Amino acid sequence: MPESSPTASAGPLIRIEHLSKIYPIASTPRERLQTLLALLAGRRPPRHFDALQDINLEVRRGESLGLIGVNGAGKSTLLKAIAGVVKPTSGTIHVHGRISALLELGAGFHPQYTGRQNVHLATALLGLSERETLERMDSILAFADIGEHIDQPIKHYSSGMVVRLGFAVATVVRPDLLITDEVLAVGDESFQRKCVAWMRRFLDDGGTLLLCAHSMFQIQKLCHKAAWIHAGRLRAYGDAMQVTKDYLGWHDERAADKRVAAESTVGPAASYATTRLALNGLERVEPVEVPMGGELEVSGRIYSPDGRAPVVALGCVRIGGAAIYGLSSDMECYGLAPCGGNEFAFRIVFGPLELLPGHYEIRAHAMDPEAVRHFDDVIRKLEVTGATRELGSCRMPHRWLPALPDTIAQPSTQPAPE
Amino acid sequence: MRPAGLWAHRRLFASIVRRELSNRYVGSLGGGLWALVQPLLLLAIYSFVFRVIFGVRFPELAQHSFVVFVASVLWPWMAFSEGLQRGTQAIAGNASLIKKVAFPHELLVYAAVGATFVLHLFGYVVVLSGLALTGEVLHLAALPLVIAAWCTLFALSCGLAFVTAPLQVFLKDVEHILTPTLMVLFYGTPILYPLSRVPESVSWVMQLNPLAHILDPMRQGLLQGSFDASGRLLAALVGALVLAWVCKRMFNRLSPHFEDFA
Repeated sequence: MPESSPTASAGPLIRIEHLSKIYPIASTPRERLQTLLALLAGRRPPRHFDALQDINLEVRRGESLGLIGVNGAGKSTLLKAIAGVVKPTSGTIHVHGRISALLELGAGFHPQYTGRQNVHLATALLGLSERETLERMDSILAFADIGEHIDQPIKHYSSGMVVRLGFAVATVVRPDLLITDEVLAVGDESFQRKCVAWMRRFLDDGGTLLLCAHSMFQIQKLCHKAAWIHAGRLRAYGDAMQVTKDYLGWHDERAADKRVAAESTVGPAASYATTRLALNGLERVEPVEVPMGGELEVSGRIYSPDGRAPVVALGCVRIGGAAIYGLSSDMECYGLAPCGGNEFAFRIVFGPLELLPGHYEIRAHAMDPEAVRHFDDVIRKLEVTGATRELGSCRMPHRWLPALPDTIAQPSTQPAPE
Repeated sequence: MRPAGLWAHRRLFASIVRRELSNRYVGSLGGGLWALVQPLLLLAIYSFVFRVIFGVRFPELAQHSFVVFVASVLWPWMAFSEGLQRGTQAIAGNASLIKKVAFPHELLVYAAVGATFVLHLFGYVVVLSGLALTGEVLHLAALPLVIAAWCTLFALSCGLAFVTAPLQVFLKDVEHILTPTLMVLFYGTPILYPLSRVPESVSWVMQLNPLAHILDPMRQGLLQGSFDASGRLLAALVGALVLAWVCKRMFNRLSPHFEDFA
């Protein structure tokens, strides 16, 4: 069999258009019967869930793609669809070239058979001819390195030996696209190194990888592009670095939201509370965009249960939790203005903003008039836009000076201060 | 699957057939010989009960023994019924493979039915050869009829399995319905008796049974050298092929959903 198909050079390796997959939900026999009748009639099953919805993707030769997303987002279903195991409910998948799927190492292995017999069956499933299998048997045995166990039934193998043999089988099929579902590194330490080295060589030789992993490090190291699948939809697609960063940021944000939700339930019901909070007059869930160097006006209202003027504390936090700046109204003797109904308003302008482009949070906390306790934590998102090559979170005031030869003290002539 | 598709997957198909065959007898000393034991035992029991105890005799036997009369159709029947039962389990029983590897699912049905047919065809040849050596007269000229009958049974077995195998994936009731149905069918098919002994009043029911039109013509050919009924066999062959084609279409419709349910 040729190592690459004749159409391989033209167009993308894989083109996915409007791919959707519906899984029927049927737990009781009655539901299974209803589902069966619906499927036979060509209708949608009565109860179903959308595993994948309208996915559009392209995988180009040499452009390895990593799939990321939370558990149950649909990553594995997408991999299986590309591998041909899952038939799409609608949409198309065009594959140009030879693909090999490692959805599970040792899939199709039969416990009663010897390792050698299983290799023959597995290579048949992968589409190798008898002759090709015999030719490559030596390299399979060398890679698996399980010695004379190869002629023992698989049921006597340790689980590590089974995956070694499974990976060894996979290495002899030289596909254009290798699909793997978190099986990159298996077995003991030395075998893992072997797996990674093989993968490296496969990529260096122009192979393309379609990888599904929870390790962002693996994705960033092995893939050029990443696709973020969320709730069956393609949420982001692009440069692996960027997408994995966004994905990690989203995770941090989610973790923060959970913390906030837990905290806000602690305070008593009739207490000081932030009732309104707006950035540049906008009170919304989506981030408010402010250009770098622009002005940010934060305004809001604090409810006071006893009618005394409360204090507001404001903070700016980088997404991920790093605090950048914080202050409270009492520090600078700013008094909140009563605006009826035991509510008090405030307004503050930050600017010109020295924050570097990125995602931030502005947090407001209602505090008692004594500025001792804070009662809540209301968050608005801020996105600072712009382009710069500077690094970090905010700009530090600085000046570059012409260098002078004698400004740096010489340790030999002058002892270092204690 | 088109024949071309089957050809493209010939090595995979051969592997699955081999796996089917050795799965059944792997780890046993007797191996495939065990496939001979059950029908041989059945043959011995029927001969004892009907011939020794009931003393059954009917003119259709002519110079033949009751043993060869039953043996000439018992193995084909076994191939059909066991093939259908194995074929029914072919999809549900290979769920792990279907969930992990992409390949045409019908290969599993062909392999399960095919492996069964290979085993029983082997038994059939052995038993008939043995009987011929003991002096039973068999008409070798009926070989085309025998081949046609086996092909018809294979098409029928595969065709029905194309329906029962997907159903079994969705509803586990299928196997429980299949076993008693096959038992009734065994006694409702002229295996232990000739078609001509069936009373007029119920023979119309027998006419509805396609197996009667497959097994009876074959037996007439083998034992009497008579080709009178070969038209019925030919009709059964065409009917079985049409049935298999229709059932295959239903199989194709459900095949994409095996992964969801298996």
